[in-house]
Amino acid sequence: MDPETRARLWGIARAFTVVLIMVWIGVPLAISILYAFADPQALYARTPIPLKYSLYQVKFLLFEAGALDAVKNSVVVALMTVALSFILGLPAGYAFARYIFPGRDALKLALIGVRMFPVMIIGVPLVALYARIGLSDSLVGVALAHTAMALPFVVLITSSVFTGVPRDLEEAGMVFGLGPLGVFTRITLPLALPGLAASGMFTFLLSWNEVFIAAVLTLTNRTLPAFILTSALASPDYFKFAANLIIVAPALLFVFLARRYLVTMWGITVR
Amino acid sequence: MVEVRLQGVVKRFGRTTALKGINLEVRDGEVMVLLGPSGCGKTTTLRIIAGLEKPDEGRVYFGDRDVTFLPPRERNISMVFQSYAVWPHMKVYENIAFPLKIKKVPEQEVRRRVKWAAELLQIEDLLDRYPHQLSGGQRQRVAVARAIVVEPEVLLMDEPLSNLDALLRVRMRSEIKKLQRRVGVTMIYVTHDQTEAMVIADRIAVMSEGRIMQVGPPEEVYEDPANTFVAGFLGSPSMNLVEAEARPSGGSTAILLGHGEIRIPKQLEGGRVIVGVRPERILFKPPSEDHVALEAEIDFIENLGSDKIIHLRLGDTLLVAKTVEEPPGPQGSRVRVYVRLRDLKVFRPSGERIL
Repeated sequence: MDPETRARLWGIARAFTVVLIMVWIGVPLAISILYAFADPQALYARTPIPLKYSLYQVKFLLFEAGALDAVKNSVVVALMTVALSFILGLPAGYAFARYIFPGRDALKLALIGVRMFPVMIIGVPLVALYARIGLSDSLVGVALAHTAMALPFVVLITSSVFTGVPRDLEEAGMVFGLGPLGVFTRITLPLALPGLAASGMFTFLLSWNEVFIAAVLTLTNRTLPAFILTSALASPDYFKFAANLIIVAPALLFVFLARRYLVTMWGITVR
Repeated sequence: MVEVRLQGVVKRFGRTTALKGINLEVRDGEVMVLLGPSGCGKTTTLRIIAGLEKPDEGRVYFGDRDVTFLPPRERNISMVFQSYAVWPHMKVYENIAFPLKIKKVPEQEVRRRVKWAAELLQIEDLLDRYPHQLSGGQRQRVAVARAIVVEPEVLLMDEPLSNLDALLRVRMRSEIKKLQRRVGVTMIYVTHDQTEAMVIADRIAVMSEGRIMQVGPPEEVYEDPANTFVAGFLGSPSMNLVEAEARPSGGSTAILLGHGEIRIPKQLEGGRVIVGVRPERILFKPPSEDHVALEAEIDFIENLGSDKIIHLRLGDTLLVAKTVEEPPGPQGSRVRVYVRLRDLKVFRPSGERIL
């Protein structure tokens, strides 16, 4: 086979793979979004796609069934999780990136080791513990549990982000008059920002998507996934699709907006 | 402006000892070049002077001030890094102004001094750009401007020209020298490039394996090497260093070299020695001063345009000569070569100079 045909065949194979992946992700997304707005009767009609649309089930879920409150709860919990896990995880990530100390590798391994235990095993004792210390059915409680889940990732990701900031740039800061804190806030942090923002996004979505802990720890203050798990999934199909839209849309929107901002930071394209 | 003194500085990294007792005095307002091959400890020495590294033993003084354990920001120094370390999230203006702003210099004064530094380095047109929009040479100028704008007592340079292309390197090294003269700052400059060192230095400290081998003005280090390391490291092609046998007898010494013999009118210790002579000091016409003469055969000739490198064979000893004139004969011909007595260096086999 001559190189030209081979290159062409490779091109076709690659295009095919790309299309396959796009279809794999895109079609279910498109269908579920379409169905979320389908008129209940039209959804069950024997047409390839629904022909009549309405906002009924989305509106109902949001304003009457209480999904809007759940969205608010989810946002609050996710933001608290991001804040807490960064306050705790950022210094650890920086230490892992910049210092060599005894037990460094063991600690790093232990971080991942925490994830060895299934969440269920942590969930039930947490209910008992929270009842004792008065955190049951509270958003802070959920955020704390999510922080525990997110922390290992935040530490590992931020440590690799900080490793990517050249040491020279920090040393130049030290030479030209900055103390350790100044170097961190005025040199390291701005340079690490794109990576940190990505890590924050990841943490946000981790909390936003988490179902089990949220469902076990709350009763009235449901986060969105917990709310959907306990109420919408017991309802007819069109409510499930509407619920799906409500949970997916904000996350998608958030990622797209954040990505645009990230790409243009310092005028440098960030992967 | 201040003098810098290092006293018995030792630095260990794990099990390796990077600096094995460095003693060095840099005079007020002079350019001291730390020269040596990679891994000789020159950058570590600079980083200890900067305060970026703490010595395990020894002291560092700026004038009478013991700065050994002071953080960099309390030393009144500035530095040009090998990578330039220009902050990518700040425009050129902000990069240069940043050290002044940290020191709370009034805004108007900041603007005046940034303008002064930018003019000096001819980067006024770049002040509005981000570093990633600059070429390597421009970034280097920004790094130098940032370093002089604070009017430091000591200016440290860590191989600042090593990432530039050859042409720019040649231009920048004389520019840096001129700049230092104008600003009058004490400068410590690290490089592995001997030509750069010769051009820039008031004095050179030649380093090898964590020790200073010799300190002196460029001419002295070149003409009067203290040991075989310095002799071999400086000069291109490097100094001829050949083993020989010394036989002292009544006020003079015969040195058996190749199949010839040269007589030195001085009593030296006998035994094996190393004889050194620079390629350009091997002459093909007898000089008027005291000299020795040797028979040699021309092995082959490299023509470099302005210079000719002539490989000579004396029995089984090989010598390299350099001349700007026509070679004295074709390849394979026998010639007489002359070396002035003062151009003849003799070392012990361990390396120390004896003559």
